[in-house]
Amino acid sequence: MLNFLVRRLGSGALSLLVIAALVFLLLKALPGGPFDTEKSLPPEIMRNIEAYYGLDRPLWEQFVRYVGNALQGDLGVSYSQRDLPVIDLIAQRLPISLELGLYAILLGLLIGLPLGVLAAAYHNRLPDYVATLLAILGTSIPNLALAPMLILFFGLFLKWLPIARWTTWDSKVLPTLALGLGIAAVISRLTRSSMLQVIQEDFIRTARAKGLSEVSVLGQHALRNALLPVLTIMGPILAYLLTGTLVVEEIFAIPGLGSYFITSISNRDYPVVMGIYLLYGFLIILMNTLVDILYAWADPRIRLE
Amino acid sequence: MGNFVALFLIIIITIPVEVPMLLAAVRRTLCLLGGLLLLSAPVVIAQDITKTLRLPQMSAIPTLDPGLAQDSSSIEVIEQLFLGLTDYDPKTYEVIPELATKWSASADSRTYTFEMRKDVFWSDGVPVTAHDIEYAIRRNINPETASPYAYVLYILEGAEAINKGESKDFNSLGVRAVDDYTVEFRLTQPAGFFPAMAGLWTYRPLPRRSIEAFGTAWTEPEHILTNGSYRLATWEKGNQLILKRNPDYKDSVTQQPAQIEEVNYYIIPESSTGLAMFENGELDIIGGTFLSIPVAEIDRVRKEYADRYSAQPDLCTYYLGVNNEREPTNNPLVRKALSAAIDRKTLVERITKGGEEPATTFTRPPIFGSVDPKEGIGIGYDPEQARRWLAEAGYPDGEGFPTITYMHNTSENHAKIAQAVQAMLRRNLGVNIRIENQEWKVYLKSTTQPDAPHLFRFGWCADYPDANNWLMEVFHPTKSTNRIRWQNSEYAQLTEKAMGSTDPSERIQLYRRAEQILNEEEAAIIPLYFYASKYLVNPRLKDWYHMALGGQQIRYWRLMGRP
Repeated sequence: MLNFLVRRLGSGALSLLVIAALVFLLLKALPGGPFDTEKSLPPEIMRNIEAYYGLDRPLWEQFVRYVGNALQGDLGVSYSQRDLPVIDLIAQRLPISLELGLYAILLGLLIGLPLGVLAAAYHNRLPDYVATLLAILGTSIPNLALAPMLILFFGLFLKWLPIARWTTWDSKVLPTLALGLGIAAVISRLTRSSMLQVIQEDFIRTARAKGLSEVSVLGQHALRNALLPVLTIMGPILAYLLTGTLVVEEIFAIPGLGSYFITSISNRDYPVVMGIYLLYGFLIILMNTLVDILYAWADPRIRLE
Repeated sequence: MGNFVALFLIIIITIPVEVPMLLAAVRRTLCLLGGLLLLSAPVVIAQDITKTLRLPQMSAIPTLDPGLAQDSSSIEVIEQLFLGLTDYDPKTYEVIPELATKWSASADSRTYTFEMRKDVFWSDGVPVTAHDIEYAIRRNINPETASPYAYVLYILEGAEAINKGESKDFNSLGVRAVDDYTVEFRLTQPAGFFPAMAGLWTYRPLPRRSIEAFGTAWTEPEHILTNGSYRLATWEKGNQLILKRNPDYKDSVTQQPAQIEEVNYYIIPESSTGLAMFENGELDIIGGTFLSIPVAEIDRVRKEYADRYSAQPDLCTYYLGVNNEREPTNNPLVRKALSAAIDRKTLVERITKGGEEPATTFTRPPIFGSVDPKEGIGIGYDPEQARRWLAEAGYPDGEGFPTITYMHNTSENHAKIAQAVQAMLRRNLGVNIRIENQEWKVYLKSTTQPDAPHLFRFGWCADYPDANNWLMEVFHPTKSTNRIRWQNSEYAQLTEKAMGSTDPSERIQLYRRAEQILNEEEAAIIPLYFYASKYLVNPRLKDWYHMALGGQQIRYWRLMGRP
């Protein structure tokens, strides 16, 4: 276990360094700079600004400085908001994105798991069909389309919920739905098919033969085994959340990282883009490691070496 | 079969009864879900909606430091927080006093002296004085401050050398506090438009003690010192910014503080979300500098909210830049033909549809030095003449005319305009153009290269209301970015002379001639239309008007009742 963690840590750090180098080079290769405007700034003013941010130094030096500062927890200062350190920006915005992501995953599990179990239990009967229909709807409507529909219906038409922003509890309902329903659909499909597989297994027949109730058979014996593929998909779901939040945050005017990420790319706000990329990379590595550990917990046959 | 019909009928009959019940069930579920979320809900201070003006902004407000601001959303908030020496009349855009009470120019028009009000105070109670202006300009011109707008100070003696790092002699700088309430500017050359410039944010007084104590953090709500009609209460970057009325402020015109107690700016990146919020009564304004109304929705909102919708003239001009060095647009006849073949009236009536006005000159009326459209300067729509010019250039009926490139920055609106122009040129001249688009920053780069596209769109907006800001600062062959790669010595001389002249009527004549060369004789650019801002304004907001320059004058608006 310890061995496993150490190796993961090493490869993770290396991955992050590679990500940093790649993003750094790609950003510099993008035409257009952070301080380009329609009325081009006089060259001497551009020089002053570049000197202020250290952009007048050679590329390798900029990168080495960046990595050196990053190791000490300093990710630089945003170019488009001069007095805002990137680390503060992340500290302000990440919790909001995480909160939204957490609600979405919870909603996904809360709806997806029971729906999947139900569909499997009533295989090829009405509940199964209904669940399938819902899942197809859930996966095929992108949140880009779902979000405005939710706003239109619950906000403008029924006037039950605020249209946008992330303030009171009721303002959080629509974004959670917009992000979580798609996850619920994926989870329910996956739970259903893996339950169906597990139900065929001998140990389930044994459990039934022992006279256990159907609830106990499905809930205790089948579900735990069926969870393995669901756990596997939590990694990709995280990736989905990261990209999904971009759209949902933008539409609902939520001050999370996702919406800011888009803006900072078009502003060529190098330090912010770098910081968010590194953070995303870190989170994905972290989540994959966690999933591997959960694997071992869910399936005693798996040992972390 | 009969069963299905019966079921269908039952469903139809019960829908009116069932739907509300169903909705109620959904609502209960949502409330339950909301109850779970409540655990983490932040404490929201109840705001009195009858006293709060709610405005959207598209992206995070970059800075509240007047010395560093260069974008419209920063300037919008800075206008509420900091006073300038001068301001503009919202109707005529003439220069009026704000922090200054009066000003005078020396005989050679190279020294300007401003007398200041004595009853304006910083938010810590200290009076605002001429020394604060002197400090602000010394600080903003310092290359270490790296102010992007420092070049508007270059008209002051010694400023350019200091900003370029060639001089460290701040005493040579052309600004001086003569006494506590008199400030004097010495200019490098006579400049009749200087009072208009002196109201710009880069010239506004700054609180030295706050900046020296807190560095870049001086604009945080707990450190900032301001002197305007509002004070900064909260600034959650990229989320919201709240201003509270400054009770000590006395307006130079009304002798009263601002009318509205609180102003909230919300960051709303999506204009369709903003529109939905407006329709739901969550915003008081959408449009103009407060998040634009989605173009696809304009037709609908114009009908649905006829009482709330309006189009307001903006001090901006949409034009096609021409690459004056590339074949075949290096030929003035070709450029004139292209300009005459574009039907600008149809363009604004059928494509942009938001109250824009056709343009044949560059400087937007009524800015000082602009040409009244009635004078007929520039090239209007004349397909016959266009064909003649093209034939004279050696391309009768467009024969042998190469396919030229028209580029715009990526946007649905620009694409529509490009397609309309493409169709007009094909129909009227028989020439083909290829439309390309690029992301904004890439586009800015491409259009400064020697192989820049033949035609490329830009919009220019006034920084201060004088033609110098247009004809000189955008197209002067050497003293501007000159994206159009155009060299014309007469034009250069005219704009230089107009800049130095102190005789208003002479300046008007010089600019008139410059417009004629730029748009008519040389057709170095093709102006298309003058902008308009489309607004939806909640009727509870009274005395509202659109200020096309330098931030809205919220201090004169009033709120009556609920949205």
